[in-house]
Amino acid sequence: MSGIIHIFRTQGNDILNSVGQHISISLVSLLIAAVIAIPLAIILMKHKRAAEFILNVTSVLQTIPSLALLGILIPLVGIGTLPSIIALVVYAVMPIFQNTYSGLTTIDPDLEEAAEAFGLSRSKKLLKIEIPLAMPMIISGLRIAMVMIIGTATLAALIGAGGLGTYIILGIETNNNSLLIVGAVLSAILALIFSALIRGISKLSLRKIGIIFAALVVLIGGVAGYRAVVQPTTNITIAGKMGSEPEILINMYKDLIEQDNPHIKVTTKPNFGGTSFLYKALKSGSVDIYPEFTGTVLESLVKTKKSASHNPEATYQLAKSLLKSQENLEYLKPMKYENGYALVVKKSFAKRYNLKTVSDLVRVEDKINAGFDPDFYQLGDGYPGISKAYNLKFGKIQTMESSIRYKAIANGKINLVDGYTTDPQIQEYKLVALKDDKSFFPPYQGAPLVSEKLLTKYPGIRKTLDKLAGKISVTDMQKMNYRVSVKHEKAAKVAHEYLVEHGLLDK
Amino acid sequence: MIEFKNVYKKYEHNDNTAINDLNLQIKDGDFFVLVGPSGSGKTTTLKMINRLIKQTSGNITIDGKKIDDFNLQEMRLQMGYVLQNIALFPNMTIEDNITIQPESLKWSKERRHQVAFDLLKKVGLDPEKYAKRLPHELSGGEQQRVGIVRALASNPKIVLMDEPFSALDPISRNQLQELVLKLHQEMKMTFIFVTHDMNEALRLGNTIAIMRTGHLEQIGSRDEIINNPKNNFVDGFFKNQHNDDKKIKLIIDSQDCSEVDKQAADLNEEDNISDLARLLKEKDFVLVESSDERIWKLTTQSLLNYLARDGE
Repeated sequence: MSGIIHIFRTQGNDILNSVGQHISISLVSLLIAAVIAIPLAIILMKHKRAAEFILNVTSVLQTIPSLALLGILIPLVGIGTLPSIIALVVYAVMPIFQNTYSGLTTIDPDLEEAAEAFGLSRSKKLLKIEIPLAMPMIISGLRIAMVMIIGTATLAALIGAGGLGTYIILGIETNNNSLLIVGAVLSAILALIFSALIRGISKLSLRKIGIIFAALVVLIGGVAGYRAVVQPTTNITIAGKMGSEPEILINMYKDLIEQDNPHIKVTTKPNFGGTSFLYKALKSGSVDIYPEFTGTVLESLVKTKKSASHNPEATYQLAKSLLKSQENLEYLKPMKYENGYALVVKKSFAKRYNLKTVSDLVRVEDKINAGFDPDFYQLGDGYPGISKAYNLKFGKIQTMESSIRYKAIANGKINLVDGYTTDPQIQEYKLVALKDDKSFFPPYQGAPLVSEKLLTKYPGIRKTLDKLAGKISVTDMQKMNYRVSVKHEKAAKVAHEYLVEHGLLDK
Repeated sequence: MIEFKNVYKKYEHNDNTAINDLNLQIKDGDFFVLVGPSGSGKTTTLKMINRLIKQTSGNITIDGKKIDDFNLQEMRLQMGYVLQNIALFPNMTIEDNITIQPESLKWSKERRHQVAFDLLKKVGLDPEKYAKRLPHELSGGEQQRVGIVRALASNPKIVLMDEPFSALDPISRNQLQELVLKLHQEMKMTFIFVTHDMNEALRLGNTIAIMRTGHLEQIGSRDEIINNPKNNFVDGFFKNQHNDDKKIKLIIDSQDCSEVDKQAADLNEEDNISDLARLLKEKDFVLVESSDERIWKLTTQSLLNYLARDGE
């Protein structure tokens, strides 16, 4: 609870902003879906076959997983609000269409006959009789769609459109329940409020509904127009994956680029969901730069038969040349820290047994009670490999969800876990990552991945971003991650301070 | 005048000819009743007049002009229509229901309001009380009164009624039969009325057309039909129906019931035994008023006793 209060106190404005984004994305999507689905149902109410066909099409669209749909949309329409709205509209059309259609086609045939026999015109029949009689069904369709949209709109956060999903996804990613609760509860509340609003609207007359609808369209159009006018044109878009570390890095990129090129305007898009979204966005040109790890490039982005080298420099060079030859992307120089696997123990434990490196563990292997992520326990790059390389055999090992192992070691249930070298929990729980003195773990060095197009347009950027090459140690990164994800300081502020402190930024 | 000339109606989905060479004339101001058993084509005939059903061949004319040559909407706006299932629009008030045709005819608000109130008064519904109500707040009989008012509201020359009373209880039916007779006298419109009930036909119609399997068996005035049934079918149809419609008086006369204190009665002894049977399905006993203003209590047993004796 105190965590939640803390989040509201430190990030109140951001949360309000996210709620606003969430509402506007949801509302725009609902309106567009309604504008498509309701007239379509009206047109097709007398054409059963065509209506069935459309119903099938919309049902098929419904079955596309939302992440897949976003993945398909990025190369076509880029990132941000537009693909989110398109995806949400795709999902919302079906319930609205289906309900409107069945509402219109299940009207008592006697009433239809009466309206017909009285000589009412098509439009009069529709406005006076059919739509009012179908209204309860139409409204329930809108409510279903609205609840679905508000729930699904949380995914918009994955492609840089913001919204409450930012908190949910970040909460899951960083095992921060307070964040998760803030995001989930707020979006549930939004769903309830809007559901009630729609029910309220349904009690109004058709004319008033029309007025409200028109007012909303004008309002949203006005806001969009205002934003389009006010929003400065963006020259460079820098995005980053989920979590504090990429957000800190992209803010550093932004500060450095804007210092060297005062006329360039940089926009940051933090907390992108998933590597493939970002990679697609970079290739399609809607993102210009994002920080990527050398190990990830070789593992999942380029095609290569070579197994990853354990030498950081060799790994970087291979990644760089493959990216250049296969995708024509530039991979600039990496920073100093490596964010790879590490074996982590409590500082007190390390002190008592004088542990500094993984090799030191051999002396105390019987005393070790390890908690490993299931992947780490099984994969060749994980425990089986390291056990062979260092000739280690721990006394006791249990596997557990990655999110709870840090808590388990903090509570003293276990005394060694696998982790990532820059995890903020290492600082939070007073832990220490043991040095991989035999360089067993594959190197994961961060470096800016940049589109060729950008470097052609602004060749200076290479030099600017190279200022970070070899900078930022593991401890630096851990500390910064701790400040952002545990202490909830702003990533931009933390990044700025680091740059100033290390003489990379003037002010 | 409405005239059918060599009108045929065939449905694609079966080979039966629904209407087979129909020829008839309906004079202006007539109360014209189409009567016949189900499947006789009486409703089809009615619905061809306002083109809800289109004839396969032959001509239907109104005042010499083919109905196909009229603008469909304009023509229908000049016709009243009463449905068997009443079909008041549940989303509209009684007044809005009544004035739906006048509204399409672009009558002023005041005129529409006036018409609705006048007509409601005419059918015995207090406009102050009923105009703003919704259809579901009314009883079946009241609803069909509104249904009739709705058909009359635009002051049409022709009013089509498709078995309008068959879903009503006998008391409401009686009252409404009287009401339409009164309205017909007062408003001088052409009423075309479909029923399967010969008694209703005889009670209401000036001209009665008896139909069977898509053609006319006989057409004529009430007296002609009663006195000179053209063939066995007409005679039989008439008699059969008549049998079903023996008066309750017969049971009272047979003394198979007890007299009770003076109170409101459900039926009159002039009502049909079939009406009694219908009410007895829902109630333990039915109170019937005889012509000497005494009240009799009839039970299912009374009815069974009567039927048993009648069958002997």
